[in-house]
Amino acid sequence: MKVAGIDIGHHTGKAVIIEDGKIISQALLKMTAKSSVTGEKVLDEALHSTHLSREEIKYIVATGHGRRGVSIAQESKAVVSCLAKGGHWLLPSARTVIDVGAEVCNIIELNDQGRPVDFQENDKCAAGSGIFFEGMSKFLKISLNDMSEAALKAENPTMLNSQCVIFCEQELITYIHSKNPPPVENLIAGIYHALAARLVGLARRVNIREDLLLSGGTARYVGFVNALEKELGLKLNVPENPEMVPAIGAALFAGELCP
Amino acid sequence: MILEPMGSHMENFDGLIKTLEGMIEHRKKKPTVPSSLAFYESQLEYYKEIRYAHDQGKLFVLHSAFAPAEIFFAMGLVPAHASFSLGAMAQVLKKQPECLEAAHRYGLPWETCGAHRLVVGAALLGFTPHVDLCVSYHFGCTSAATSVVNVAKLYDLPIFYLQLPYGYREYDIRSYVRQLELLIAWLEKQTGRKMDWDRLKEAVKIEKQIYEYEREIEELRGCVPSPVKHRSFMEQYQTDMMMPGTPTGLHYYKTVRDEVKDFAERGIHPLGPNHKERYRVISCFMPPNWCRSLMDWMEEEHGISSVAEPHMNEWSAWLADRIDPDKPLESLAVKYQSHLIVRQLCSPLLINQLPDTLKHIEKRKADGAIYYASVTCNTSPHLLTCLKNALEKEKVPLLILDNDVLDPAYASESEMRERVDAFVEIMDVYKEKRATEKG
Repeated sequence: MKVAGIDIGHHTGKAVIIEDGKIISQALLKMTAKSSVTGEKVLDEALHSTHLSREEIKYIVATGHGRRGVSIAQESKAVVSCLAKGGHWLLPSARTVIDVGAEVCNIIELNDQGRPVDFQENDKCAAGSGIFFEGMSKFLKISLNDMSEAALKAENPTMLNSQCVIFCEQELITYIHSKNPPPVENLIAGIYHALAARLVGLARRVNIREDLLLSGGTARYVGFVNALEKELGLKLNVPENPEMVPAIGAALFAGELCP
Repeated sequence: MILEPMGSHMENFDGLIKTLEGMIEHRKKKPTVPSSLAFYESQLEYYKEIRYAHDQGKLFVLHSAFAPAEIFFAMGLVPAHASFSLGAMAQVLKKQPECLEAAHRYGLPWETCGAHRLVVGAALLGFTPHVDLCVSYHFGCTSAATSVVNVAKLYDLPIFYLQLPYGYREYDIRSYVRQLELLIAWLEKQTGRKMDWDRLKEAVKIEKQIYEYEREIEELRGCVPSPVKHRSFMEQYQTDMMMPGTPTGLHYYKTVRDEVKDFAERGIHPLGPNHKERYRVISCFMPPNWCRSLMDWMEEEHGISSVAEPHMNEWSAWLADRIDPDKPLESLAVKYQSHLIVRQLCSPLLINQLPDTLKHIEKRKADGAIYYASVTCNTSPHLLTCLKNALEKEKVPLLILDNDVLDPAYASESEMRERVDAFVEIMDVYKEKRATEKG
């Protein structure tokens, strides 16, 4: 039986198709103006690579902030529930899932069965989510991937105190124009540490237990992963496709809910 | 552009009265529970009093939260609870953004509590009839006090400052009684009217009866399913704040008591015999006033009933025994100094807030607790972690919903719904855990 999970995030839509407990296809697309359109397009993209038709998908569960707009889904589930389910499936020993998406960050404590027992979400500020990196990347005119590589060369990350993207940018300008500007890799590492420090404050509100799984697009940036590990003092496990975790969870729910 | 105070534009008030009349008509045509109609009727009566105060030769007093409105009623003055009346008006007329923007232009930072920014914004835009007097009450919530001070400054109005003594000793009550005497003397001087002590005693007598009703309501709230509609506690709280010691308030509470008793006796939920109550939660602090629909949605979508509000209404059993109509000032001092929100803001967590919350877990069979953490409140959310840990020990999960009581900019309804959706699964996990442990 083939089932699908669709995750409509702030920047991208993701779809995962599962058959008999195995992922057979997945896709990721930039968001369009409408959740319903993105949902259909991303599912079609996933179907395309496996030459399947929509009719062959027996059940669809949507998640993410735009989940209620996905008309092709039979059911929708909270992103926290899907992150827990997907995270546990990928790493059964996971007891904490940290998801840092484009605009929302969630920290979820799981029980031994992989069910959520507590969670925290970031407050309304871009400095607590992946969009923070995008802003800094544009400002420094360095691609996100190059930023990640550069941070690994940092010897002494610059301390950035600002809690806000705009003020952080001003702080960077001050450093860049100072008499002895720090190397750019130190500034980049400072950016990663600034977000990591915010996340740790949030993470302390739940009972963080090992093993930890890091999901969301930001988990692709090694520089950030290192910074977060350092701030937490704990090792993070990053799945192969970290942004797909909620869609995997949604697909697993679809398998359970399919009549 | 610097905003200048715009005086008084009665069309806003007339618009509010018209809208409320429409809401009442709608409820008469499509009845829900009797208390809902009684609530809107009492609100209409309250606003009509304000609207026509000057036509009837009465003076209009704008007061901050927890100032003793019974005294104003007894002196024949027309009071308006600043944050509730102006907040509700802006909401009903859909003028919230305008008011918040006006307050911002006036110079209030966005980080100030929305309820009090809204008071200043509404006053700037001339949403009230001409205010004659202001009474400000200083306690833990500094915003509540200062918003009325801002209005007094804007229109150069006479103002009296009541100061809450921080404590619950006999000395503090005496000190508060003395302040009430000074308030009455000030009002007498400002208005040329004498306090009608018989009327004040009558108001306190009514208040005692209201708390007797509340006590009965609270006793019935242990019933399964809950005989009280989820949003009802906000309506009760608002009525208690706006019209204490009045026949209108008494009529509303009697309606609620009769309704709750009826549902409890019949063993059905107010949404009907087919409604399935799946979760019972303790609601902590104040939900966002601008989206009471969130409470309706929780009830309808997930079957979540609010079974206790330890920081809002559940103090009546204690208070009803301490109110004595023959000692009106002492009674009012005890009441306003012990109000749950005041107790929470001004006294140590371990003495009041924690026990007030924990005692309901067994008694009301709670599955979880929701803390409405106002991110712009400078006093309420500080001790959340202690509360969370204490509830955790009792195997009750806590959901923290960040919000602002009257400014939707801090958390949208859809964001809050998303968190509630996730919390429902967590309550399930805890339920299973408790069941397994019980064997």
